[in-house]
Amino acid sequence: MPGTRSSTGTGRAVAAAAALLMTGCCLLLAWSLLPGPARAAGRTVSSTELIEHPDKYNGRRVAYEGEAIGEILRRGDNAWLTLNDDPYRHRPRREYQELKGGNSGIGVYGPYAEASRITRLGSYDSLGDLVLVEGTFFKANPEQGGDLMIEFDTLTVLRKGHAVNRNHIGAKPVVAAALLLASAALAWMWWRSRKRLVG
Amino acid sequence: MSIPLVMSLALKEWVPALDLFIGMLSCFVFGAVTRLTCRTDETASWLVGMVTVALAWLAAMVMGAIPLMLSGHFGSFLDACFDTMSGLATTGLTLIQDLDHLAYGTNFWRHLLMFLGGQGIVVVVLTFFVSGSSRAVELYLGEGRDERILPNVVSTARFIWVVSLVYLVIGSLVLWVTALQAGMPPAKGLFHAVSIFMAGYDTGGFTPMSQSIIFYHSLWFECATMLVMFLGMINFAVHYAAWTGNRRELAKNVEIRTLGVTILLTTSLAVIGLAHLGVLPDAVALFRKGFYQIISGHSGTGFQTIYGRQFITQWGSLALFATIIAMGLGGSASSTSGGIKAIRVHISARSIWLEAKRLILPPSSVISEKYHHIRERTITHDLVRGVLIVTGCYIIAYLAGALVITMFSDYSLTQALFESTSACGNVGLSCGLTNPAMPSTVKVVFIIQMWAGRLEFISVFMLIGFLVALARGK
Repeated sequence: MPGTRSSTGTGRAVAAAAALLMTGCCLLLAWSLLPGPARAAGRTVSSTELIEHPDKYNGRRVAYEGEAIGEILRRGDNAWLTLNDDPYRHRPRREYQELKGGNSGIGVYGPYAEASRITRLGSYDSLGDLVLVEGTFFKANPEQGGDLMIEFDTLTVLRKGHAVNRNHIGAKPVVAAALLLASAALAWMWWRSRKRLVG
Repeated sequence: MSIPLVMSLALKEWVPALDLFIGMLSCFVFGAVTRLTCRTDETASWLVGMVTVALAWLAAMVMGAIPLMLSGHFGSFLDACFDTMSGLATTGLTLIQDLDHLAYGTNFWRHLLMFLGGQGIVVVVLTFFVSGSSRAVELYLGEGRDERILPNVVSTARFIWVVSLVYLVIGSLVLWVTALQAGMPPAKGLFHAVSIFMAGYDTGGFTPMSQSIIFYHSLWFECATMLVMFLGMINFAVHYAAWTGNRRELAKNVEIRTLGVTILLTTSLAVIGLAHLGVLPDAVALFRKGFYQIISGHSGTGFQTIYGRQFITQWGSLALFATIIAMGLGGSASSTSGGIKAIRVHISARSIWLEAKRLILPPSSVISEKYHHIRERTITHDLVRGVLIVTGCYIIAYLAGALVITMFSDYSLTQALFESTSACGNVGLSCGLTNPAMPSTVKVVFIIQMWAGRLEFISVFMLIGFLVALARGK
């Protein structure tokens, strides 16, 4: 019967759609359960949040993302890092000439083998690697002299840093030249007045 | 500015070098114009000497701010002036933005400001540019230094610089070794060591990194900085006594003894408060966080081993109160510390005791109180009056600053009092209130507090009186 054939076809389409939907849901669920940097990046906590609410996160596992700054301070098999999560980690001030407030960040401590993946540290002429660490947050770690910090076990470099060489000189050379001329003129005037006084 | 300029050139930081060069030339032009227009052969009076000092500090603030402003790390010239005054007055509060990407030359200039301001701008002039003058006394005293170590103020100024430079070499070496031990590479470690010595010895508080002393995560580095802060909070006259072999002075000196008592009291309060709340897990943590912050506050340095907001989120009222008290009291007179100063704390306390004795004993009794500072001295009415005036000025300035801050912002009175005491006591500890986004009125209040606190009010009062008299046509 044409009508029965038609209803069977609709049923198959609905079944196929349901199967696809189910598969999609299963994949989504599986993906959500998978550990990894991409997933953890979505759950990262900021340094401000950690410092403002230390009790809430104390002893809990957290993921934290920031620009590696300054130096890797090696301590035997481990190392200390400072990771800044301020806006400059994405938009270096020297490149964009934008001010977005002071720096904010936190100290993290973990295996040197993980920390040594960092190839560039943030400084005047560099934007440091953007890294993601996962580990335990302590509001006052007894093993680290009471430091508020994250003891990480995994470190992932999310983005390599780069040299920042862009200079915005503007009218500075003109100002310097004008001041140099003014200085020379004033020095000459002073020398003349002194000579007159001595004479 | 020539030292950071050479440093910038050596490190190929061309634009910061140009900023510093413009700053140098601006100073030269300003100096030459004032020399040509304001020069006089008349002997300066006491009033003129004091007014000159107050104005010189304002001029130094504006001139010193030029390379900072040109660096592009400040939101406005007011912010750059704030940091320059903070540096010169050895406070340590900062409005710099993105410090962690600042050029080495400019960063060194910030720390050098503290080294110059700590010894005193006038002391710099007396040391290097004056061969001996009667006018030097007014200038020297106007800068908040109330005693001459040697009979001649120029010799005194030179002694202050000799002591400071010797300590600079020794202290920087000690900090460098501890920085290497903490994992710093040699060249950068040396830069950090010299910068932190200058900020620590001059009880300033600027650091090369935004994380202050937390950046190093090292017990030994913290101990070395504590030693430097201790050196900075001691009177230069006591340094002189120790240097010339009179080491007994260290045990007998009233300021050292008073500091011992006040450090013990404020530390005890902080430890009780922190232990009660269970903030820190053990004695080592109490030493590295609690004791360190008290020493940092008491000496007027402002180095931090905790994040600023932890004062508010974790420390609780008692420990916070202890830190405010420590900041308010300050170190020794004629040192690089700010605050009320140990000698005034001692004399104020002794004067209360003296009055109590007068009430108890028969009216015919002759009561005399003495104290030991380099030599035996008697507590006189004039001395007590002078001490109480300056002490009162500090307390009023701490409270008035806090009130103004709460009027012009949303901060709580406790936070405002913490920051106000830090600014006026030239300390530099911050509970997070000082930031580039705070209202301009509050920034100006802090600048005035830092300036007046460093000059111990007298020069500033003289300037105000001078301006009022000028306005009235007298």
